[in-house]
Amino acid sequence: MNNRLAALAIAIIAIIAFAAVASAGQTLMVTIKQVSIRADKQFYAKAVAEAKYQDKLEVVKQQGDWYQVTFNGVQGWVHNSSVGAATKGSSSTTVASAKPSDSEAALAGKGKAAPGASSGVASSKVSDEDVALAGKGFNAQVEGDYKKKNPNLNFAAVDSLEKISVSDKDATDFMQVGRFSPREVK
Amino acid sequence: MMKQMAKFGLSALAAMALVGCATGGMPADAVGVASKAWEKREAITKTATALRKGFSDLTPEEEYFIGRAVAARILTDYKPANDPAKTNYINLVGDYVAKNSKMPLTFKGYHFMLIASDEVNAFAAPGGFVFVTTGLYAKLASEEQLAAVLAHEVAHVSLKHGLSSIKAANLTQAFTILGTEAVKEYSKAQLGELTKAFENSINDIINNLVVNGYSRSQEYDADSEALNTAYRAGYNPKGLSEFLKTLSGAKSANNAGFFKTHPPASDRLKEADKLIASGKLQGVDNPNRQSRFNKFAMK
Repeated sequence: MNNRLAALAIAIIAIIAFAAVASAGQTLMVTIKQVSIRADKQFYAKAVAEAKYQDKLEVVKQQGDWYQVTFNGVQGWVHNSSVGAATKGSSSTTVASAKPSDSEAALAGKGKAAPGASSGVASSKVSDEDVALAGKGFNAQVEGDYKKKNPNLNFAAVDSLEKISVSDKDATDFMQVGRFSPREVK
Repeated sequence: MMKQMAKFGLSALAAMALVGCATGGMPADAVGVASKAWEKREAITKTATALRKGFSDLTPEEEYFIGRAVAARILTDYKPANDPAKTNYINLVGDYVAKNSKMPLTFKGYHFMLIASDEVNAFAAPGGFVFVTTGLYAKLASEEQLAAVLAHEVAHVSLKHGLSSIKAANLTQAFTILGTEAVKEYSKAQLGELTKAFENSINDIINNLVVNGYSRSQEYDADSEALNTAYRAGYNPKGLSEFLKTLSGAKSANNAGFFKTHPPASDRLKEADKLIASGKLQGVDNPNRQSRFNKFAMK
């Protein structure tokens, strides 16, 4: 393949890939430690399910900053700051041709079996690139080594700080008393 | 989000291209599939690693670990104020403000802390660790002003100003070491190099955050985003102007804290007022918010 043909092929594949990324049926991966899947597209709407880091969510549709998703058979909404596009779209990636083997699952270091295959390959398989990136880089192991080299640093105070959190109830009470009327920036 | 999509789209594209080349004509027996999967993983991992180039390619998890280390550095120099009532109040305001920001959710959420120092200052570490000194808190006159200060700090997080201070060489070093094996544990040598890159990255951020300050344009961007955030939340964005007015009238004995690391408050005030007028970001105060602020005001 000469360079121009290759460039053209790449451009076409790119268009297909982007189309897949934007469509319903796309798989998203949770990129934060834990996220509540909400009954409505609001932060304090009732939580209908809890998803964890690296869980896969199937997109039903997107509205503004929110995705309606299906997770373990439950439908609800998540904010786009809690998810990333999983690399394996519903159709266009050839990666789907290889069914996940046990050795792959073990390699993934997930230690958990793929959930029911009935939901389709796209949602049940841990994607290769996710595995490559998730948990790598600056992680707990690196922090452990950094702490060892800098024993004077006050990580204990950071741990205490992390324990401070605002419950949905406290937040909604706070908003009610404050009489806020949230607005869209024009 | 689009940027993130684009990034993932590109990686997917590269992965597809590689897989397309690697799988042609392979036998479809079980052994073949397994070894093919292995080769494919190797190739994709290399691609994925190679595609990570800049600070915006750091994952929320990495941002969190960077933020924890930056926070640990800050909390080694400053002590928590140990005032549970005010801390709780700051977290209620801060969490609400963050939910109306560009990045409402981070790996383990936003956390706000009052630190004991007469210096007038506030810091935000990547991932959402936000610190306000008692010296700054004492200058606040309303919940609108507190919300404006917290929104400014949250904006530094959501606009990734901390991460952008990491020198490219340190990130490149980290991304290069990230290797090609899909394992969770690093070898001793890899870990040593990664920790070095991590340490250098933390130093880069601390240098900007505490020592030199962010660039003027980053400070103005954070003010602008704070006004939008306050407006979206239903606060009166004028809170920022009012606080800047207080600061511009205040004298700093040794040009420390905010006064050293931020552009002159009088300049920021002019700019904020301009943005409020041009963006039609007017709002109203509320007596309920004022009375609950008064309960937690610094005596």
